[in-house]
Amino acid sequence: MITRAARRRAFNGVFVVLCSIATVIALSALVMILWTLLSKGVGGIDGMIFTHDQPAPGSPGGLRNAIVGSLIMCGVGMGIALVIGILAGTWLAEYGAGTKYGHVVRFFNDVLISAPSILIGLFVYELLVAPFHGFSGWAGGVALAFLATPIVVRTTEDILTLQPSALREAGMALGASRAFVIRRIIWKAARTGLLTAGLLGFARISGETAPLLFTSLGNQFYNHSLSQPMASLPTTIFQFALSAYDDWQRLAWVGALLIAVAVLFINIVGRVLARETHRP
Amino acid sequence: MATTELASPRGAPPGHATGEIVFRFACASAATLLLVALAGVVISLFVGGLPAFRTFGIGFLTSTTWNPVTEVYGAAGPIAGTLITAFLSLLIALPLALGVSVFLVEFCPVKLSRPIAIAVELLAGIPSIVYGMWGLFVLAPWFAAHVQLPIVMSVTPGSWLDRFFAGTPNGANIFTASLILAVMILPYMAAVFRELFLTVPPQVREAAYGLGCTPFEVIKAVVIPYVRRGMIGVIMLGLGRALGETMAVTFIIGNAHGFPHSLFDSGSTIASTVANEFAEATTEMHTSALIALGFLLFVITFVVLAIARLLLREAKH
Amino acid sequence: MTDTALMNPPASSAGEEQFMTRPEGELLLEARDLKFFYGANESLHGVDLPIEKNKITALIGPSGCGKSTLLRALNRIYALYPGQRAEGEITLDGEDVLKGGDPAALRARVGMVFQKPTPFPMSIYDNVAFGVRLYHKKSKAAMDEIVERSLTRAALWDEVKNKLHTSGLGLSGGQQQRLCVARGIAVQPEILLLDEPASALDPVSTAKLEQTLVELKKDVTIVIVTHNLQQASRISDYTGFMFLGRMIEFGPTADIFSNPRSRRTRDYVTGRFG
Repeated sequence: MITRAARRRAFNGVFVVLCSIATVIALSALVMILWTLLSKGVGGIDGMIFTHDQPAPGSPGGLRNAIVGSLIMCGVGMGIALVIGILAGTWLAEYGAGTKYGHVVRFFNDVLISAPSILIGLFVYELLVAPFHGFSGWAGGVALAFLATPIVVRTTEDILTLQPSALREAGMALGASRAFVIRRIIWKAARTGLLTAGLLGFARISGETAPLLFTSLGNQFYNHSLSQPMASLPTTIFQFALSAYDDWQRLAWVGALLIAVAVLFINIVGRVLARETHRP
Repeated sequence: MATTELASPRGAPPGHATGEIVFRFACASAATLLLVALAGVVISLFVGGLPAFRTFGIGFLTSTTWNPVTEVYGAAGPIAGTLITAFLSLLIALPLALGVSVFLVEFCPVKLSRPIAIAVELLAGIPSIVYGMWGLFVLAPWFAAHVQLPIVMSVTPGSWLDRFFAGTPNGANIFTASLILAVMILPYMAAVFRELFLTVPPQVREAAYGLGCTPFEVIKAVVIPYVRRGMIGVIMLGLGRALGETMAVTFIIGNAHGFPHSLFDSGSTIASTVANEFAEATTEMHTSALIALGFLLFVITFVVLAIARLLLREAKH
Repeated sequence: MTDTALMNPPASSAGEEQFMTRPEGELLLEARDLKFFYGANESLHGVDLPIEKNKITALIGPSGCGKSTLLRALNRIYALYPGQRAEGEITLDGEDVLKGGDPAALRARVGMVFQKPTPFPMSIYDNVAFGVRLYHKKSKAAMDEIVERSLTRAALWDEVKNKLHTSGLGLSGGQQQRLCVARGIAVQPEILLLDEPASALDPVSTAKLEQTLVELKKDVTIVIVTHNLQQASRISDYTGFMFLGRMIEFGPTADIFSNPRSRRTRDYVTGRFG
């Protein structure tokens, strides 16, 4: 005769096992992916990765043009995103908090954060590629800016709202205007948080492929002019991985490893910084 | 004895009034720019897709023909692929995400919970193209060899099972695409579930334990109902992500435009179709059809995401 | 009033008799019939507050009586928050400052120190100089002198003179609060408002702060909100007792504490409630 209590314990036991299995599955996925990245990527690294541009199939080469292109476009994207994002986030936290319009902006910003990145690519294509009859690094940078800005906005708003209102009052009690207090005191106090916002945005866009596919397109040659099509790590990886050439695929894995390491590193830095700010 | 006397200030600090106006305007403009950008996306997608919508009418949504040569386009295949992979991935990811988050909150030894939580978040940060490559080079061959081939070997040709699992045994099909998507949305959902669980006041949980409930019962009867709204919001966010994901899917979905006929059939999603064909689309109609696809995807994801955000907003307040 | 009456305090102070003894000296600031609203909620019901120049005036009363609200009306800091508004009259040196005029100009003359120390995220030097730099361009030598003078008057100079360019956040709580006082007096305001400035401080820091205020009143008129009755009786010249949004009694501190005219006041200062 199975008692009620025993049956409940049994259910619970099964439940614990299931939850543990789920965790093991999730962790195994992580381990497998990282293992694959490392084994296939590290093996392909040689001295030429950073010094040579992408090769024709069968020839030796590296990823220099892709790396440089990525850095340039991410830089452009982050530059735009930080300016617009911090200003917009400041408005949400300081001037628009509690207003109806503020709710609307925040809501649509949240939607933009999760919007499919390929659609942003289409939009920027219509905006900056079609009218000018050419793919360009600018278009790629702007597309990345579209993706990073909502993240910066949200993080900025969160971090500024955390600042104690007494700090604002203390500044304004001396006679300073609200704008002055925000710029000289609040932004300063939130420095680390704003940096984290930038890092998070950068981590997000450094791995983005879809929006670059038809804005910056890609370039097999070294190019640092933003008005020309520009190579990037993600688009190069995409092209190489789907190709039939072994050495191109090898380079694709190296590229994937580079991106993953960069993103991981940025996340760790962001995490450490976030911990610093919360220490009393 | 002070040698520097300050005239007691009688007016506001010089320049601050204008500075305030300028700064406030700049901030408000930036905020409005976001809305303008979103509106711009919707409008440009709609305008760009209009030729296709006009030419094919409502048939665009129902036709599975996608032929750049004859210039006949129908979106049913990609739409079906998008919806099927997204829901399938949710089906796979949801129980796993729940399991992970419950494990972290209830059963995990305290010392392990932070490292595991961090590991899960790291999974979330891996760029989608890495998932795509892993899917193409690791999951697909493994799947073909260890799942598809055995099934092909064991089912009787022509049977219901055979038809259900039919498909080229190369591992590139809607099921594997859904698997990859599931792994992608799993960490995010698990992380937010965990945050939601942690918002339940300790007193409520302790009260349940105090009555003699097992952890399973506490979760089922107390914690989940407490955060139900938020959970639905998270689920919809995951769904939204899965609907719009491009790179992870493009590598492994097989890129066939028709309606998928079986679980292991190749298919396509809106995102993968656009990603594969847009750069090479030479005719206006082809381009317009692709943009029309984009518009449809936007509508679908917008609705899902809007509902998700509304639910999460209520849950977090 | 019996003890049962004390256990069931009134919901409103409307029927309370009010006793005001106006100060004899010159008034610097006066609030007349001041009403304050949080949205639709009236929280100050026509309060009068006369502040004599170069004296310390204390506002006391139980939680929720409106003393902080009254203080924050005096420099219009409430204007930061939509939905909060004040009606009535506040005159500073004869001119109405509640309705007319730029709040920023008012705050140049009326300074404020808050309950929790709020050092700005910059060096000690820059903290003190912050307010001055809003209004004046001073040479380095002149600014150095202003900073030293303010820190000395706030009884902080000796402790920080060798680390002026380190962050203000690195100081202890008591030191941070004195830094905020130094910052507030650096611009030489006519009045300094303090909202429970010592409530987050230990007794030693509190004593230092109180000493500073007593010496400051030679140059700056001081209004201090405090829930510490002993502090009020130690340092203030005038005291106002508030209850549920009304000024029940106002007069010289000695009178309020040893011979209050209102029963309500007597019950509060003798500790029977609050």
